[in-house]
Amino acid sequence: MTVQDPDVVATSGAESAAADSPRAGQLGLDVRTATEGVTVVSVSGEVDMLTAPQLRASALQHLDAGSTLVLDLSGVSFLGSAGLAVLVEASQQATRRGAGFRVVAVERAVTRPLAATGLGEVFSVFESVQRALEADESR
Amino acid sequence: MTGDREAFSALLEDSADDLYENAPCGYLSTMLDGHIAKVNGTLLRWLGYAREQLVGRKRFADLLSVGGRLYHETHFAPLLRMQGEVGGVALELVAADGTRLPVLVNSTVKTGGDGEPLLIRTTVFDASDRRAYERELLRARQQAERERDEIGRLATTLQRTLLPPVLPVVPGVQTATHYHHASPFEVGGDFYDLFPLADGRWGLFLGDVCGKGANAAAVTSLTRYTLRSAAVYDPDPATVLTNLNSVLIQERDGEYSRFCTVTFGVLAVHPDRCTLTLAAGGHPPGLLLRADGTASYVTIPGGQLIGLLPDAHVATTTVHLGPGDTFVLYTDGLIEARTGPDTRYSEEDLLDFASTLPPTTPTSAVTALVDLLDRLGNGVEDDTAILAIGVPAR
Repeated sequence: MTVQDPDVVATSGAESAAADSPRAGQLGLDVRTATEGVTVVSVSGEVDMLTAPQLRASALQHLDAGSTLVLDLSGVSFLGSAGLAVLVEASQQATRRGAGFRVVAVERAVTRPLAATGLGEVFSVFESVQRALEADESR
Repeated sequence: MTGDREAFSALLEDSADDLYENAPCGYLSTMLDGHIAKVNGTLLRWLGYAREQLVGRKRFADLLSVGGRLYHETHFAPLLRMQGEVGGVALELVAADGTRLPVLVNSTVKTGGDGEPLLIRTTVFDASDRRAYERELLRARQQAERERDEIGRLATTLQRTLLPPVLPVVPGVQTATHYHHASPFEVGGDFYDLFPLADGRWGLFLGDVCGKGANAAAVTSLTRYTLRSAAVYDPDPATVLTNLNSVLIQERDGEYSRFCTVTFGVLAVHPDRCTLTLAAGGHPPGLLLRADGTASYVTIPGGQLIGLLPDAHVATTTVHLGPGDTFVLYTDGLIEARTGPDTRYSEEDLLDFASTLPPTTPTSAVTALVDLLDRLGNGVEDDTAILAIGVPAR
């Protein structure tokens, strides 16, 4: 099931590959249920001071007790400090709420700031959604 | 049901004459020279005139204020002649007792069968409420602008208290700083300082607290004073940042994460050179500008954000500065600046830029970076702090 978050650019399903990357100030958020209790939020575009609140709202909305949120940042072309703050908060909220939190990071635009701030060691980072889902199954 | 029938009967009996005479707006017809030929009771009541005082005696323009008359002659009438109609024009009518009535005026030219203009029909709407509303809007806007200016002043004042007014003079070393405000109405979380330690060495730091506004300002203040006091107690850079980490975690208030990126250093000055022992927690790499014009990054890999994890790892390194060398610390506002719809100014771009600079001093390095920030303009979406330190060239 694909649910479109309000106030964001729709890039759901098969269209997402063909869709142009969101313009400055816009964020693509594609939400789907991978398996029972596991939600994958695929993010595209730039996560900066302008768009971070959208990511925050979506991430916190899908952090329920006993569930797992996989934040797929493969389509992110820029991850600024405001975006890092959202990841930190999501990680902390997941711990508080008893939820799982996984991050998928492939592009240098994402892996570099995660490494530079040491956040790669704070939460689980995977190189594909598949790996993140497998890790959840073996938990 | 009976009420509906009565209303319907009244509607059928409503004569066109009565509708014209007592309409909720003013009606008047004027000859082409402007003389009033016909006027309804509503407009007469609004203005306090008897019909015979106006019909055949006054022109429409005579009822207008001086400014309105001028506008009528220069704009309204010529436009009406050209277009055949003019709508929604705000004017002021002057009543018999001299009071002014703000109105909205619509006029059309009635033509004969041959297309020749015969007379001008005008409707007049009372705009008193609208004028009052506009005045109220203007008042509210002026008040908002005053408050905005006040917020700007408060933000600037608060920001000033979070930064040292001037850096102390370090014998044998040159220093320079700059703080770039991305917004005059928000307090940023960037900070820096340079201060003496007991043993003749100097402590320095530059960092960026997560967030903006009052929360960030509170954490910035706490961070700055914690760093200074921790350095006095034990100036080892790694220990200083570990202490700061403990304080920020201890002070965390539930939902709000009090964390920052920071580089802390201890500066030891020797004749003709100095040594910088640095510790970093998740901060962008410092920029080393050598006397020969080369530029490189001083990366301190492995450091984590401060205030996030109880056992945060702090990375350290040592930099030796010789005559003519300059070391620059900066916050990420610079390397996150937007340069196009899909492009950002990056660490690579900054290094390329630094490599083009001639052998430099802290002051000229900061000046060059300030020029760069100016060129990036509105692309710089976050505050940027810069601290440069160097040994004078021989």
